[in-house]
Amino acid sequence: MTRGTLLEPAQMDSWHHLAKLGVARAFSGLCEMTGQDIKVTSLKSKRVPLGKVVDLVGGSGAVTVGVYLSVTGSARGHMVLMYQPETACGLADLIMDRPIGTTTSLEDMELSALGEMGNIMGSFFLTAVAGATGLDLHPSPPSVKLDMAGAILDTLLGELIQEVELALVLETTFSTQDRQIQGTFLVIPTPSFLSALLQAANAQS
Amino acid sequence: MIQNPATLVGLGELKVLQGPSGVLACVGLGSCVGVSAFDPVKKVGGMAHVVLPAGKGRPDGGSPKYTDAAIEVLVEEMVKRGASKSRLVIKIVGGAQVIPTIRASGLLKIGEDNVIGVKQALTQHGLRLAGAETGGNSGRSIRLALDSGTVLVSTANGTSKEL
Repeated sequence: MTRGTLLEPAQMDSWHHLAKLGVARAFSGLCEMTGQDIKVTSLKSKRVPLGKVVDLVGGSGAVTVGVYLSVTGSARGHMVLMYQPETACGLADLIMDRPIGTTTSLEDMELSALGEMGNIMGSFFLTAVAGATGLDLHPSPPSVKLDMAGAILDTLLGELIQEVELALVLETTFSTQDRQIQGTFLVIPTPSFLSALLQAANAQS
Repeated sequence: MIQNPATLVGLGELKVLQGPSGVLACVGLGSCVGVSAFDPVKKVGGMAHVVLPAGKGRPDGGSPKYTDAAIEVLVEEMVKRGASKSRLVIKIVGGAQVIPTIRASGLLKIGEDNVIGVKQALTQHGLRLAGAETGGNSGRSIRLALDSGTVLVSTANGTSKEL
């Protein structure tokens, strides 16, 4: 794994395959939780300079909802789900089975529901990835934060900046049939997590 | 009120501007520390967006993403632009623990360690800290206006105050 490019093309393919499995499972978990048909409209694995990761969610000063889970087990890593507040309000309506447009501010109850949603999506994502790699992966309880995107991400980016210049970001947009929710689900694996994942995936294939 | 647009200082970056106008800003600081330095006579301003504690001994240890290198390069660059080291008004913002559960090797108290690192580096350079707003669990932004030397700290909930 080189400092600049992070992954070779074959490894990118392998990661994208794992990510696709994980995201499909994460969204099936979300559909089960909400009883709604939620469709993944796009899934992209991007290599983004560390300083530009925040631009994917509106810039470093954009107020954002972040759901953070750490991963433990055979590999250590982090997962962060980030939503713009309007998306988070729409999701809160969805999870809490409220009519569209009910949630206009994010209080403790809404943030807790979003944390639970992150928990389910994170667990399902990891279950799929663990199944495909044979690794034992567990998410921590979620931490939910409403703050500036830069402030939510900088500790995590601080770990990455010691090893690499580019972050591998999994960007997913999704929507529901009856609701205009467009959200972005970001997964930012650390280099050590990726490397454990890809080694295990390689050994399985 | 500080007018936009500001020159943004991104993650691990350091920028120096020659006044008398212009604004330098670090936006969305969590565990990172924004270091603002200003020479009120020459109207030279500098800002560093520090990410990690001391980088001494690391292959890229000279990068301003580390506390020790950031202070060294900041002083050096400002003096090159005509600032006087003894006149520098230095203020720091950030070093929070925004996500309480984050677990990473050596990163549990990264915000706190960044603040300690910056303060140690300032002491080593014989520089005095004129103001600080650090710690806690919320993100902050810092803006330095070169016309007045005013430093503003703001948060996601819209509060803003002069440091």
